[in-house]
Amino acid sequence: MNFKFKHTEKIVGLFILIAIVILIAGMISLAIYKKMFIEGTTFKTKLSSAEGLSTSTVLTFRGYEIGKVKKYSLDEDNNIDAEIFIYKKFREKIVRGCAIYRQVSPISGKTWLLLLYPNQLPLRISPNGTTLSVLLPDESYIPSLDMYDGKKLLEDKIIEKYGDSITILFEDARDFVSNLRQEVRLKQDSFQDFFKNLAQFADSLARNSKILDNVSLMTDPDKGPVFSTLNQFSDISKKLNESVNQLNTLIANYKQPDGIIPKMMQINPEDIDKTMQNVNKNLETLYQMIKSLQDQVPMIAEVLMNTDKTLQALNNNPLLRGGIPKEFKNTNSSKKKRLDMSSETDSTKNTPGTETKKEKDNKNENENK
Amino acid sequence: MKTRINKTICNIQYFRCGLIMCIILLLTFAGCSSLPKGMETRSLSFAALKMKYARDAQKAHDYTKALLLYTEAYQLYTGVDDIRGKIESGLSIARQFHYLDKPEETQKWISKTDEMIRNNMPELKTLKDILLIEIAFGKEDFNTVISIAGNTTTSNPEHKAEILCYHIASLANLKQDYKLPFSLLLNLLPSLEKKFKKNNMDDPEILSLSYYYLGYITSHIEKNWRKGIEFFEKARHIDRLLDNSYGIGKDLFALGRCMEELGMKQEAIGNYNRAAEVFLLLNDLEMEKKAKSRAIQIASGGQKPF
Repeated sequence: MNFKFKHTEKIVGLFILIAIVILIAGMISLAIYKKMFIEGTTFKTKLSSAEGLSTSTVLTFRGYEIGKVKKYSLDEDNNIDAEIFIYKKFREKIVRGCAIYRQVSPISGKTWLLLLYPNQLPLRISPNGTTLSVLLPDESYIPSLDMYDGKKLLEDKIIEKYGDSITILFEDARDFVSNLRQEVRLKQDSFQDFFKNLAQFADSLARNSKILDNVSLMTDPDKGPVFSTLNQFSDISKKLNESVNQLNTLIANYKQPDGIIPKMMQINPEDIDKTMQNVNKNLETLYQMIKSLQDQVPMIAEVLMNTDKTLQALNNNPLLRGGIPKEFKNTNSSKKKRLDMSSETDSTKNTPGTETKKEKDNKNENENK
Repeated sequence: MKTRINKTICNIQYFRCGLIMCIILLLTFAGCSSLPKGMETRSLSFAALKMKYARDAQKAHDYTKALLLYTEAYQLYTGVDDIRGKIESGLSIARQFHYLDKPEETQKWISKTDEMIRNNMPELKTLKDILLIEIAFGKEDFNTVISIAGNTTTSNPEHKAEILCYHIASLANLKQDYKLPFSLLLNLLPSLEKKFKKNNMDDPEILSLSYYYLGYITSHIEKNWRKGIEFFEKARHIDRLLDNSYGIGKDLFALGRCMEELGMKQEAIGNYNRAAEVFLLLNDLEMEKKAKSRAIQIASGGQKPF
């Protein structure tokens, strides 16, 4: 049976119209989603690397998206000049003393920017102590923690790091390792001096040993000249005199305050001071790391518990259960006894606790013997 | 015409309704079945974990570590008064003491678990019997093995197969009639194979052990070396799947022996050498030496009888 539409052209036209409307609506919603129509202000910053950076990288503050990277380029100093577009709604958050913190996730490698807001407002940043206006002017420079000025703000405790704890933990660990490296290098120099002095000391000792050997040779009752012949007594006494003189010189060397041992301990006081400072810094970092890790423990435990629950649910699901291999209970043993083919009553001799009576008897016999 | 179109539209609507209902039912079913099967206390989960690690340690022949873990599991089971767990871990503790050659401790733990079995779970008596059989078999006390195996009844095919293995080996060594248990073991194999293929066995090593003892009886006792090779090959295949190095070593040695008897010298030497390598890896120097010396003797043309 044939079934014809009366208004085929109109219906097709209507479909095309609907498709076009959907397409336009989609494009508009995409533009809205991408915040293409939002007004805002541009600021500048400097970053140390563009790794993971793109024009879709967003700037967040306390979890809110307050802006995004507009464009970025490599400058003459091999840093990255980035322009950041701040949405109008959040313009007032860009104040003096704020900084940008570039975080790279150590797990996913994803990069995001965080705005670090100063602890107190208004800020007294100028050296003469005058209060400066709070808001940063449009298109001005926001320091980043990648650069010195940003780090200074952090050191002066004007701002505080926040964000993904694991990333911060990794960064702290990285700083810790780099500090440690510096220190090791410093110590390497000190150790070089130490070993030089030690070498000198070893030379002196060798000389000392030679002298003592001479003395011992000379005073040897069998071969030594002292007891072999009295005729050569004068020569021996001369030699002995020389040796004693040498020995005296050596002892005098030891007695001197600028002797070998103090030389060995000669380490620049500035170096020691630097080392101690570094050690102190490292200890602080270590303390922070441990503290942060301690804070993470309950969270990790909770995550593990939730994961366990999810996996249990998945395990109980009949649609998935087939895909999860069953774990063998293996109830009885790991090593079932298998009689050897070499003899009729030869069981697994090396298995502990499976010694045969005959073997035990033999053993006892041997022990008795 | 109109009626027909209406009917078609009506059918389509019914079909659609049915489909939606099916999807809703499927989702409800999947959602409900995702709920936990039952509450399990943390102690039980930990105890199960300890048992798992203890079995791993036992597999690695670290009996002291296994003993420690089984004891911890026993304590956890005691804390929540899980009798089954207590019996299973208690028997495992006894087994470790046996491996560590401490008969007094072994006996103490067997008595302890025996009391629990008698009072609370008589169905677990088989587990204790298997342990007693293992101990007696290790001491070559074949009469005890035969007496325990003859009195043990179980519906669990894996336990049955394991007991039958020790039973036929003991009967054969005492030159007694083993035909009945041998045929029982042969009859059990298809169901065990099926369970193994479905990955549904509690202790899959039982299957390779069964093949090994079938091969042992066929070749070593009945002198049917060719049939023996078939069984040992199957045992080796399963042991390889289970990563059971000790079993593989024994299978290779047995294969070497069968091939030697059949005059397949090169193959026999190859199998002995491979067995020696496996035993060396397991630090079983006696077996390694035995396999190596057999290979050397065949290569030099000597036929020293075993």
